[in-house]
Amino acid sequence: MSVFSPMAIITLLGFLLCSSFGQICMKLGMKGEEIPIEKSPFKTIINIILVMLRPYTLTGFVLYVIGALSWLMFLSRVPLNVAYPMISIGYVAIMVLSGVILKEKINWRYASAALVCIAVGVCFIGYSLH
Amino acid sequence: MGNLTFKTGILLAVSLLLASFGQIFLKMGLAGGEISGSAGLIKAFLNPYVLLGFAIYACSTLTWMLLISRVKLSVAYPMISISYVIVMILSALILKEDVNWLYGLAGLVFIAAGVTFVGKGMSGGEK
Repeated sequence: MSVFSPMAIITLLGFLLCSSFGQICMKLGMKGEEIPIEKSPFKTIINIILVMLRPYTLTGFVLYVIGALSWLMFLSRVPLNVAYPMISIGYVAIMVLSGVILKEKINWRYASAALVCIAVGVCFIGYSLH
Repeated sequence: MGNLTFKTGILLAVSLLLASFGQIFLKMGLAGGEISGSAGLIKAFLNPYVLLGFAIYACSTLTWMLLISRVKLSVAYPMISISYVIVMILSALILKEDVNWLYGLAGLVFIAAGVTFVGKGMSGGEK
């Protein structure tokens, strides 16, 4: 029934989990504050680097890199026209995680509608691969 | 936070085209077949097409950030679907992939609706 090989599914899940949780970690690393923009661009860059060195932000970047490598492994197994739309699953994942972990204001009615539509769409794309 | 203007429209077009071509280059660099093992992964990562693909993708992310700092998420998100159509067409034209247009486009219609809902649901605080 499944159109993807087990390894393709594992690498896709690896990509989706790492890139979604990576974003959440980066946002946690911001500690709910805006990165200050100074008059001198040099100071602004220092501000950005200091934020990048926080544990949560660093974890986010590491997860992001692992996600990119997982994407390469997935992409080497599946044609691009089928692989690329799978990224949209990540948008719903980030939306749900933003509400649950970051306590951001999410409209859950839209979130459910998004989940259903993207799930149906992804199934169609998956079945286009025989 | 506004709607699309001529300037932000160009920003959007550039971001979507860069994202699409980034993926095309990644796939071109993966012509060697299925990656297995860490040595294969490192070899694939260092392929010039793959490196170029990631670089283009990074540029796309930067232009996307410029865009969403100027345009409402509920306006920007549905536009992502355009890149899915571009990638599907380029996959057939450049990569000569066997695209199933009927199932593929039907799937993209649902996904377009889905990312539109994502944009609407995440702009909780926006007017």
